[in-house]
Amino acid sequence: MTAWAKPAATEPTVGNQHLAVATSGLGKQYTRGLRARSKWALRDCTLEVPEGRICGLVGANGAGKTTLLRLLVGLARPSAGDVQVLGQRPSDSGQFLREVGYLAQDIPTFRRWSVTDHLRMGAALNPSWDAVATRERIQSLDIPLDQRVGTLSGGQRAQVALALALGKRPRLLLLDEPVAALDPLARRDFLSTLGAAVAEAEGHLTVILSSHLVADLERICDHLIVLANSRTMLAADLDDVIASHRVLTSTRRDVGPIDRQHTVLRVEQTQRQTRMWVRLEGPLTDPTWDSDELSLEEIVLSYLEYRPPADADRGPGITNVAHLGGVS
Amino acid sequence: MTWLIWRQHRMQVGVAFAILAALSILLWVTGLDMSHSLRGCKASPTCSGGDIMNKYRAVTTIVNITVAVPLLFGIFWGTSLMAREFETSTHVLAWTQSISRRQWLNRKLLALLAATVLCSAGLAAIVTWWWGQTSNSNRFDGARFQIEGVTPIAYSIFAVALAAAAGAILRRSLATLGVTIFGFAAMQVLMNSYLRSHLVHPLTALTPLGPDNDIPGAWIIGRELLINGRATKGIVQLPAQCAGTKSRPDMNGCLSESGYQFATKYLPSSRYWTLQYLESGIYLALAALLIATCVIVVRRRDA
Amino acid sequence: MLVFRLTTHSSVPAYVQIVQQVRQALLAGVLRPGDRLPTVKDVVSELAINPNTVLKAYRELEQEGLVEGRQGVGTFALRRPDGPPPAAQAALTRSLERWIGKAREAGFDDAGMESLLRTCLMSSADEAIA
Repeated sequence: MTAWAKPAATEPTVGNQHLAVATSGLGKQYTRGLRARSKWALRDCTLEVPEGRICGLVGANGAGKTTLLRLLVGLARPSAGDVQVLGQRPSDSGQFLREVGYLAQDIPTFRRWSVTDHLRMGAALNPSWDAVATRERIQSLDIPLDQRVGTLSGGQRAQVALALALGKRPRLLLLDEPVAALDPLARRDFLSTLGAAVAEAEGHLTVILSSHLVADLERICDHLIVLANSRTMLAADLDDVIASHRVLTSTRRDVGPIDRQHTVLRVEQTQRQTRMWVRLEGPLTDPTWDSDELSLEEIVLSYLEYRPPADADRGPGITNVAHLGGVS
Repeated sequence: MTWLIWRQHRMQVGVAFAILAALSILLWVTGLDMSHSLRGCKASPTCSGGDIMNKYRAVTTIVNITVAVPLLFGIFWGTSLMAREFETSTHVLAWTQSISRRQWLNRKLLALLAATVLCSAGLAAIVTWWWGQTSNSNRFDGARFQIEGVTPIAYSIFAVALAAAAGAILRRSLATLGVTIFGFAAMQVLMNSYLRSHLVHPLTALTPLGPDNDIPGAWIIGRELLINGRATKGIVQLPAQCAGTKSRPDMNGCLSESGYQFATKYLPSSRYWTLQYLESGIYLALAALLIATCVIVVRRRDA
Repeated sequence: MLVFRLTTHSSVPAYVQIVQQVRQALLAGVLRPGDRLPTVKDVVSELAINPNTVLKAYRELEQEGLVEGRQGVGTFALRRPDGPPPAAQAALTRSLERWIGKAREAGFDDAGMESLLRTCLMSSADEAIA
């Protein structure tokens, strides 16, 4: 069995971790027609994804998830900023493309082709193709090889596409909402296959997976990126995210002291009570607040609903991305 | 990549080859038959070439219909090359394997253009041979100029290039189809009705009025009536002195003496190949521009 | 073959649940010293969780000296953790199952039972201190 490729010594690292993806001020602009009213699909995106992670990419529709993924694989070119994937700029070259796998949202396949035809295509177009493992992976899912892909169920088609993307043994795999249209069982199977592939690669396969379903992300991901309004709100290890986000409850009082020390995402004030959803930037020194853990879903929602503070007294709000856990 | 091109286009290429093969067999058989009959006819005093040709009217029609084949290449091969690919997003699948966009595009274009050249050349060859077996010796006659020689090859390449460029820009099969048909037809109309007659400088022959004004094998571009060396326009009055003539030959003689003659603009058959190459050259130049456009658009645009 | 089960939305992190289940299995004798633990790939395939979660759990077990990882071969159980002998474990498990049955009949739900257990544990800990 061919082994997964390892990163070159020249690739960027943080600490002793290789970075699969590193962007800086990345932006993508689309011009709408001749009137040149341009829209930024993604703006000011600065993040890092260490190698070997399964990274979840969350955001509302139109937040820039698909755009980010397309920029990473080179299907689109950036309008601003820089992007480094596996230590190089995405380029239209076989050498880059063989290391990056991509699965588009609509899972494009040749509907009239059989599964075997698709595997043959993979073998024909990829020098690093692992034919045996790919065929086994599909057969172990009880997907008939001679059946036309157009007649397979949604879950089966997604699995075939995943096997195709993994067949060339890429070092980075980008999945654009692959499970959005699948039933819960098909979703589970897909994520199982994905996780097993990452386990097999022993740290040399990085996955970025965009999804709406936070429950799935909580299980399979160990890194998280949150996009809202085409901007990056959060990019950090999942454990650090869970550990550093809290909901603070207390009798009604001034939010100032907390606001100055930590990042406030949301405030609810009733006559008697104050509740704040915060990201702790350090230890919570005031014991009079009740501090409760937040589920990942609640954390993500807070970011998606986040609005910058209206008045300047309350601080600038989130101006840059939170990089937690030592990745500067 | 070769396998991919073949698998994607095997249906269209297969059908085209089958049709062309059938056509070739038909023309081969009828051509031999026809030439045999015509030879027999020449030996016999009672037979005329026209009678023989009448028997082959159906085949002649089929042969003349092959003038539409270049457009068919554009419609079936050209749209599947680019438009269909983008419409179904399979280009994303192809571009995220290990092959670069550039390689993918170059190989695809090369393969299909080569196949186009091969097929159209084969068809042109057999049609040229077939017409050669007939009693018709004027290569400029009717649709012959467009289906013999090298022009049909150039038309086919142009049609495919047009469809490829339109497909790359529009990314929709139906729209590409429309542009290809319209663009090709417009170009053909332009060439037929105007351009072709201006590509090579024609000769002018001055001949007296009469039945014997035919220049064998030539392309008669235009014919004017001159009176004493000056071109006439509109309705011409009969001169007084010729009013009383009874028969056609006498009338013609009288008019000739009165200074009436024909000025015939024509292209002799010796200029046939020059015209062929010039016209083909124009289509090929356009095709090159279109291919370049296709390549630039595909490479620079986001997927 | 040892099969793991995870309760999502539990305050107990996934890797801790795996550690606990391995310990339980060793205590109950389901997993014996020398047996191979499920591979990371197998666990991930079964549960659709992140491989690092499993690796973390196995690392912690290794630190406790309960398992040993052998490169290229797998992770193997080393010894039984300190705890009641298998017979006692089995007996206690049975009486606990009976108690659960009775509690359910009395109208307790899972959360109520957990809460009751915690209260009793705390008060017994207080007693131990006192």
